[in-house]
Amino acid sequence: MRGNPGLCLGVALLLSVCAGAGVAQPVNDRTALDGVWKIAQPRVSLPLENEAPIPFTPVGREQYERNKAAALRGDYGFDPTLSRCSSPGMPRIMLSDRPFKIFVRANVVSMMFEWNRLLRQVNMGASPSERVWGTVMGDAWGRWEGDTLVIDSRNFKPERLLDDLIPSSEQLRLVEHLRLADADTLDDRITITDPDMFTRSWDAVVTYKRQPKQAFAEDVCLDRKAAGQAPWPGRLARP
Amino acid sequence: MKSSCLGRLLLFGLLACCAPAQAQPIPPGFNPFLLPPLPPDAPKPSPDPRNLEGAWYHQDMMEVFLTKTMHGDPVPMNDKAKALLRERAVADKSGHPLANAAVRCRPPGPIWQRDINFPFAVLQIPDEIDFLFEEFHGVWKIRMNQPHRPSGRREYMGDSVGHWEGDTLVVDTTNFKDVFWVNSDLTGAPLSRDAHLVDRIRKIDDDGPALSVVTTIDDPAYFTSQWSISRKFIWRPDRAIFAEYDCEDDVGRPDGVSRYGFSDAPGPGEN
Repeated sequence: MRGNPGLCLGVALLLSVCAGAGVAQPVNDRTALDGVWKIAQPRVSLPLENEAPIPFTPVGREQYERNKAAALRGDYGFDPTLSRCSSPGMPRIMLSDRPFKIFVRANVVSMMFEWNRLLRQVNMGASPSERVWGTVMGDAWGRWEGDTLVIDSRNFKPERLLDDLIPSSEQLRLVEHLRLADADTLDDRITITDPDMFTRSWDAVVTYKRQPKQAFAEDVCLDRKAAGQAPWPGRLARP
Repeated sequence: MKSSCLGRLLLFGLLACCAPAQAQPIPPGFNPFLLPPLPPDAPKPSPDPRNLEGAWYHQDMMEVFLTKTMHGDPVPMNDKAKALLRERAVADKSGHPLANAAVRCRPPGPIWQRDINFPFAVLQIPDEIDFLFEEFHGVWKIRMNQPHRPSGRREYMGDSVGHWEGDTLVVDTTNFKDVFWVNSDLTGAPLSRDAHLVDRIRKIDDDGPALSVVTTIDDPAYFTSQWSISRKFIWRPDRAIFAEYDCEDDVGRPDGVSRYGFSDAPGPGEN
């Protein structure tokens, strides 16, 4: 079939319109979040606060158990990141074992991940809104509460993963509180709400350490996969 | 399965699906990439000529058939380049165009990346200037005032080092990982892994804030002399939040690009 120039132009038109560990220190400069960061303890699963159990709904539990059983069989078809390098989405990208950079600017906060050159953007100049089609990373809106960057993410694609096994739906909503514990330590408290999968909201806290300034290597996940390397950090089956 | 407009659209972006062999002539003056004017209260770029930060957009009609230099001369291709271009054209006409880097969901090189009509953002820190693109997870990293890395480490986007000459950012790029295509076309002109590009980038005022980028291409493997192209990118703060691009979700499947009718292009260094 040949390309349809009329259709192409129509689509074109449509689209064209369309820092001393452990001791909290006050940090007054919001751009103090700027810099290179890396997760303090690499992990494949979300770190639940106080090791609390995940409050699954029956549907959520069923999907989780199905994913776990498939992983134990070595069948990762349920995981688009591990099976084909698709974006890990949120909040899983925040578990990457590779560094990422934060650029705090007036209207956009950018997170530039080394992993597959992924970019996460936080809109600082608008109010959250709904849209018909969700995305893997969702739409993110940010605001400052003192020195804490609060990010509200919604409009997610259904049937994705929060980490290596935990399922999510298009009802997912994330609220993050990013705050410097000290000049070289960044905490991201992620509050996860998804009434299809969980009976209540729950929190995970991920900690990052500041890294030396560096230009990232060009990571191409599909090339790593083709070379027989793991697209995403190796998993350990959950007990 | 033959390539379809939809497949090209999904993998490539807009212009590719209006590719050469299939396209009807575009009416004179028609530009599907024209954006409405910015509102008067839209954010302005920094007045500092050495601060390029913000969102920029290629609004001009893309040169799908890149046959002329910025001075209007024919692109000085050698016989090898002409033969390769012919091979790509034949493959495209057969309905099974060769899958270039962009189709294979790999970084397509800095020229293509800038040329497609999608926005990019510039972020600057003292030692580095990053161009981040909406499409292809594109990242063009410019290390400031540093020498090139040893040629053993090659990347799809090349190794770029920059310095300021007055208010012009001069970027020198080489050490590419793959043979790539200059222009966003299924029969694009080739560039070799050892191509040498020099970009001269400066802010201009052309009915509004814009970036002027003049790229000089030096690649004896495919061209008989140096030649240059000139592009302009307009200031578009309203396009600073990018649409999601996740080509791996399609191309990473076992049938990869073949499900869209593409043939696999030769791998790195095979041309």
